Amino acid sequence: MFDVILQALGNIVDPQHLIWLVLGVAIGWWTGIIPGIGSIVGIAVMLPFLYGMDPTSGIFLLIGIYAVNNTSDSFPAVLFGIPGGSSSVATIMDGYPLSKKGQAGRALGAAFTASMLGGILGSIVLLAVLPIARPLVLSLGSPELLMVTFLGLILVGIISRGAVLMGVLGATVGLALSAVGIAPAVYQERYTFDTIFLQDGLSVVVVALGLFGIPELLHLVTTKQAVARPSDGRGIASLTSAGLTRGGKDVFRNFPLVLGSSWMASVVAIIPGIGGSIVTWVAWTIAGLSKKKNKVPLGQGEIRGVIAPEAANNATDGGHLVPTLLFGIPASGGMALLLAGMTLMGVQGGPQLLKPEGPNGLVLIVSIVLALVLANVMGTAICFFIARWVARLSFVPGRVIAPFLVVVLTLAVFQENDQIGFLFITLGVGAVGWIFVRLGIPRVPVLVGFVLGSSIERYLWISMSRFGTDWLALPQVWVIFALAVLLAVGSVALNRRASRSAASQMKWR
Amino acid sequence: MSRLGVPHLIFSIVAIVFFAAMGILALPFPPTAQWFPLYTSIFGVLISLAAAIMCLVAVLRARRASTAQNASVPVGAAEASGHQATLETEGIAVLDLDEDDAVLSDPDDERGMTARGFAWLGVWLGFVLVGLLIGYVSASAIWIGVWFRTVHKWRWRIVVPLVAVIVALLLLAQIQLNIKMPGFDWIKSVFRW
Repeated sequence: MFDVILQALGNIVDPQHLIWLVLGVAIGWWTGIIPGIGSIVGIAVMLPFLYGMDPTSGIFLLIGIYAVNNTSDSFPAVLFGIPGGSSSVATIMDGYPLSKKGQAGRALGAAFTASMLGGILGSIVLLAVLPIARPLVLSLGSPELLMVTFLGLILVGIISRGAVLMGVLGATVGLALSAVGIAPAVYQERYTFDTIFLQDGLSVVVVALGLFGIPELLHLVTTKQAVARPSDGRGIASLTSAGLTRGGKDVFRNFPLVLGSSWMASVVAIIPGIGGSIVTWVAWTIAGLSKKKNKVPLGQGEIRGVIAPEAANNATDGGHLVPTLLFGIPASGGMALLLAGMTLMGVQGGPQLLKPEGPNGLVLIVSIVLALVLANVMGTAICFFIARWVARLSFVPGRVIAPFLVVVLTLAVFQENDQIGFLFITLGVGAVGWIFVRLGIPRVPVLVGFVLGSSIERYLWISMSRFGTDWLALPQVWVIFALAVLLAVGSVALNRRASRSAASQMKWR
Repeated sequence: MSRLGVPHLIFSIVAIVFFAAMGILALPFPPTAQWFPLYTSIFGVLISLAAAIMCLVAVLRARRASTAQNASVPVGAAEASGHQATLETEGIAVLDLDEDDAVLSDPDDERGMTARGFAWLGVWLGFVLVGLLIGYVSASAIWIGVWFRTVHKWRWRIVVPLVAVIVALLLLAQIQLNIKMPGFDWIKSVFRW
């Protein structure tokens, strides 16, 4: 193991790889600070450029984008009360009131420091899980992996926001989209409609940019609401280095809260589908439990209400990487793209990555952990040192960014396959994505279903070839399947009970 | 969670048709190529059928509830008074977030947003088609120029350098980084580059 850590450290200090991590941090930082563009759009735009890249450099680039996004999205949340991403919504509850009180610097200082510590603690959880999970993952055969992947897919469908059945339906739509192209086991064109460009199937860039990039952009241009109000200028004016430092000190004063929130978030985030948006609310609620330590009630500008969600937010990255790297099951939309990016560079997630004879194996995983730590430190340092000057970027309205995004997204799609047909398919998927947004149907399950489609088909095909239908009688398969059904039925029941209870509460008001 | 309604019902029915068509098209494939799409389509039909039933039940319940409410409280709105009641009778929901930040959410505007989104998607499609005709670089230049001149009313002295920078960056990316541009080959063939 010591050898592995040394090699991973070598990867981190290698300027050839480090430069890509720095670039990723810069992109992730920018996509986080501009409201409306998330890490998913940032990673999806970069995916076409990963072809032929060194896997370590490419993964560092993606990790940089993913990790820092959660830190810089605190800017719009604290300064304007607008979430930079879905996971920074809880930060608004206390961050924005603090900004209104003229303590934006303190709130942001606390948010950045808590984010950094959360990210580091989440990485440690990933490292700690590795020796426990490795023998378990390596012992799984194709039928078990098929069922585990199926379980992951069901979980993503039911845990994502929105109606449970709609989420699972979305995941199935993703599976259907992954069936397009030549079948992997035998030369058979499926759903290509006699076109040549569809023979290779749909690329993840087409699906991700269609589902996320286009609807986010349409949202930017269709909303009439202004990003910032004139009064928000006060927030930026109060961004002093003394305020930022005070926020940093607040975090260390509340270190047990950081530790608890990060630990909870990274462990819970191991379950696929539990994203930052859920975990941050749990952390915020936990912070509210200790009424003695809170100087003002939560929601009225209590610094602990900023620290807990921000630490939890970044700690989820470490947890999300556990199923993504070890089982090949993406825990979120961003992780689905990370997994797709790894596949583009010839690195398979799951058991292949853990085998000692694998091309990259453990060294790559440990390198990812170290890259995650370094990206969090770099992102926080950028936020601290140039916060006052760059915070004004958040003032840029969506209608100024939109035309450039149209140009960049179009180019990214064309770059992927050099085929004009994919541009039209992306716009079609974008229309579907916009319908999903308007109807409140979660889009992450579609992307995860699409990315998992090839793995599910591969495991299904190997299981059928090796065992025929006998694999269906394996007890371990039944146990995992029963767990999936139980979780699905349980969440539908819980959801219905929650709706009824909400309805009865409304009736009594 | 958004409340299930008629649009969700329509969506579920479309999904049933989509998965049924997928399953039917998968039938002629050899077994190894058939398994995955066939099982996916069966699962998809079952899930979308369940979703359609749920949506139908939700729609019927909502209709029954609104009919009952209209029959029992006919004068409720008329008795209400004040600014908030006026807004509510006009169909505008009032949500007080803060003492000085009241957000008015207009249901008509919500509906209009869906239509505006599709209109913008149409504009994007136009951009792609123009790109095919005159080349990506020139289409991008026109797009950015027209946008900032008409939407933001920026002055020519700002728009022209901006467009020049965009064109220079795109050409640099095309030549130096070998980034592929849609429609560029067509332009190349015209000018015999």
